[in-house]
Amino acid sequence: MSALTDRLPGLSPPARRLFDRFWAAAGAVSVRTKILGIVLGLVLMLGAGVTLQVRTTLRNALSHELHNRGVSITRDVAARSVDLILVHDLYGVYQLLQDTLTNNEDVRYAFIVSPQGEVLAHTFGDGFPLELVGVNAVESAERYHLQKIITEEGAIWDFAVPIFDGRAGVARVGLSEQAMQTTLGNVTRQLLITTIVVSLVGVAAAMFLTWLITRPVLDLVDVTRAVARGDLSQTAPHWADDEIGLLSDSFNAMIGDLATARAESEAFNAELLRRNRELAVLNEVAQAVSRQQDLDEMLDNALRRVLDLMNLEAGWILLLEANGTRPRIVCSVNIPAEVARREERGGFPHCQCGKLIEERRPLFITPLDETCPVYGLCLADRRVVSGHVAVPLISKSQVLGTLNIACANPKCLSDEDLQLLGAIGRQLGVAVENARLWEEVRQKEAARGQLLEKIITAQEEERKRIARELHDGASQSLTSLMVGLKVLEGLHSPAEVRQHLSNLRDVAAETLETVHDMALELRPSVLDDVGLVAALDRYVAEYQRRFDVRVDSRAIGFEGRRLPPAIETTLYRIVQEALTNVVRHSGAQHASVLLEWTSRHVRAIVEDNGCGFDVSSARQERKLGLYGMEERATLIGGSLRIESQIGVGTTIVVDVPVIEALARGRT
Amino acid sequence: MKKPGPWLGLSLILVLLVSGCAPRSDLPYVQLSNLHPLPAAAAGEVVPLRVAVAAVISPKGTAESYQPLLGYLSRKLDRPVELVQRRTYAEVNDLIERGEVDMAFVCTSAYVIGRRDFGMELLVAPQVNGETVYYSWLIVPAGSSAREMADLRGKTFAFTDPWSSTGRMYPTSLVKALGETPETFFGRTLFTYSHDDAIRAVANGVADGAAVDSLVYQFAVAREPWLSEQTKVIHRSPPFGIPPVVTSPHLRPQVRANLQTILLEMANDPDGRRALQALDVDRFVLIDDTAYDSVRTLESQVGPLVLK
Repeated sequence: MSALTDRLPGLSPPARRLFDRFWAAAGAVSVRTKILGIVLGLVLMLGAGVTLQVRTTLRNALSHELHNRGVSITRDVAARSVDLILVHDLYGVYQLLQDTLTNNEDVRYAFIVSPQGEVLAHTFGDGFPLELVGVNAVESAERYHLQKIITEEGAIWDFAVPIFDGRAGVARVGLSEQAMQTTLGNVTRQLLITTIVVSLVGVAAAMFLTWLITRPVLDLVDVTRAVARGDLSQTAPHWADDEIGLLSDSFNAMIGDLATARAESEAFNAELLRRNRELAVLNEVAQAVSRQQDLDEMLDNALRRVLDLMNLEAGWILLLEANGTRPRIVCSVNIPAEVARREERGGFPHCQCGKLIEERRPLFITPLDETCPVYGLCLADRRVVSGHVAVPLISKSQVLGTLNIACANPKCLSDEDLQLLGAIGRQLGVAVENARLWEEVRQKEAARGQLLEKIITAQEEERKRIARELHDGASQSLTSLMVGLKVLEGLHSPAEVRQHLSNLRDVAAETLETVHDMALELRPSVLDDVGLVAALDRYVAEYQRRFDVRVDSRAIGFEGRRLPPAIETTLYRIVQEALTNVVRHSGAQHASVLLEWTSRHVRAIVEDNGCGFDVSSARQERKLGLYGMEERATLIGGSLRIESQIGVGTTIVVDVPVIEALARGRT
Repeated sequence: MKKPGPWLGLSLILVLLVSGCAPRSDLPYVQLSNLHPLPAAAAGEVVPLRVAVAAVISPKGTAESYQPLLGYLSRKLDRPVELVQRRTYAEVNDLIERGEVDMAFVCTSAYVIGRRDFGMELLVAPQVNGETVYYSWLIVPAGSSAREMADLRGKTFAFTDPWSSTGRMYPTSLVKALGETPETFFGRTLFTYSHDDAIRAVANGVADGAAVDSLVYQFAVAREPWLSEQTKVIHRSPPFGIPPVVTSPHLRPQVRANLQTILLEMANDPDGRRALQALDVDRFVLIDDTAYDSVRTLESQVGPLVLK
């Protein structure tokens, strides 16, 4: 069931089916054909209706007129022939009939039949169609009788009128329908011609009308198709201020909205794509840096991902090492080795991109000057590098290195790309920082293990020494005391005994001193008794007594107060270790020890004027003494700094925050 | 492109509707070109008695007036009676002379000529108002100022029949008495060939004057009263012998005797009386030839009457 008939309630199912069949045919043709059909149909229906109506009316009128005329003529003939017949003037009758025939176009024939049935006169000339006599008859009482007959010439209305009440016979006149039919035909033809002319005019008008209506619609269809193809630049022409004009306007408005929406959508999509790419790159980089791997390998991986994802060809990563003093090419892609070496040996940070250390943002350097290591570098397919992007690898607002991209096209990277690279640079900076910290932790762990081992070894060594000391010293002394006592057992003379006892007492006193020294060395109880400053003074005095190094010792801010025992012990041991190192390694003649207790921290500084050493290599070699000092400082919440210059001397500074120090004291 | 189908169909329907070529098979068919010579009139088994009536009045009036008489004769004779009319007195006389009619009602002058030329025989004469004479009356339209024939000089005059004694001979004698001929006296003359048509011509103003049979005038005025209102009689002639009933000299004597008897006896028969009344005739009576001498005198005054 069509949609059209759904809107026509009250249709019976057969009518609905009929209408559907009609609509299936009529609905399939174009609007032009529909309007043409309606106009033609209306004109033809009107023409047919008018023609039929006029024809029917005219036929009735003409029939009526023919009928009246027939009756009139025949009655006239009958009346005028009475006397002629009665006086047997047959020629007069013939003349009358002939006149009637001549004067009346419609009269086909006329004749007189006598009461005996003889034909008295007629207009047929030679001979007479005899069967004509019998086809019509009239009673003498009738005015007339009409009988239509068919002849080879068409229909003829045969009128019969009694003459002199039938006593003189019957007058018969035949009127042909031909003139009437001719008139009817002419009128019909005229009407049909008029209908056809009006139809033609109607067709022309309908075509003009359909042109008026369909032209803007077709234009709209064209624009619709253009819009469907994605061409939003076209607009439907505004033909007139009618419904179609309104449609065009609203359609144009719709196209405008569509264009705006598409532009917004495209911008959104581009933004989305950009973000997506950024996220992908960041994700890739994040994945690259998240793997537990070597720093160089990780950076190489990250560089290749970045180049790959951003459709870039060449690049390298440079890290600033040794406190930002030494540039090192960590990895490179499509960069010749000599270029990388040039960069390492004097390029960065003295070249154009060096200023990123201050600006801390990616720099797009173009054109390049000759100092740039990639100046004049040829990429694949012979394109020369024309631009260079340097991205700082930043962590904790410190530039740890640079990510570098070389490209032939100055517009190879947009501002968004630079922003993305900046983000990547920060990410990589954090990764580098993490890797370095991780490396440091790893080194510290290793040092701690060695220290532990050494502590255990030292303990064993100390026990061995104590055992040896006991064995060689106290044990020997006690053995000689045992022997002396045994000897004493055998002496009988009091003098000898006395002498012997005196010797034994000396031995015992010596042994006691030995044990005392041992105990002193093991644990300077003086620290507990007199405090850090006094203990260090005694140690420095003893140190100067034992070694050929002059030591200045000063303490500031310790008057009348003491640090917690753990802090005092740690500081005592660090200073003790530092002085031990001075005498063991520095070859210094002079050293100074400064203790300082300020409102913020407690600081111990040990300086010497010895030979000095390379701190980082010493760290890498994991000198246990240094490491042990750092460990001790860290354990009490402080920090230890070693500054050493070869040939000048070494300074070791221990800082313990006061709050930290006092807190530990309370616990 | 438009499909022609529906429009073609519609046009066909239209053409069929307006062509009006509905079949009329129920109507009789006659081939008009199928011409045959007309068959000769079949001779009847019974020979009718043919009665001619001179055109004193119009043929139709004659036929109506004489029908009862003819019917009466037919019944009495037990044979059909056929009325024969001719336009002129001369034609009727020809028929009588040739024996093509058996009996005839002729006018006075026709009898005078027939008697003289071929022995036309008197049978009976009608008696009207007790007389066997009649007159010629000169009539003019009712509004006319003419009081005698002399007043009609230069006017249009209607004659009845060239042979009519009352309709032509008597007025001609009046003109001659004025020393003129009708051709010079009247502006124009016409022949109506019957008396009642002459009366109508005057009544309608077609003619300014006419001379008519007094019997016919009375008869006509009785039947059509408006004629008396439109006409007036300004002159009456002396009496002439009444137009007789004659027989052909070829008629068998027995039939002639039989006819005479029937006619004479008619007034004694109610049936016959009704037929006589239709003719305004009292009865039929025998008449002598001398009754027509006055006409012969008139003829001598206006010149001889000739056939044709």
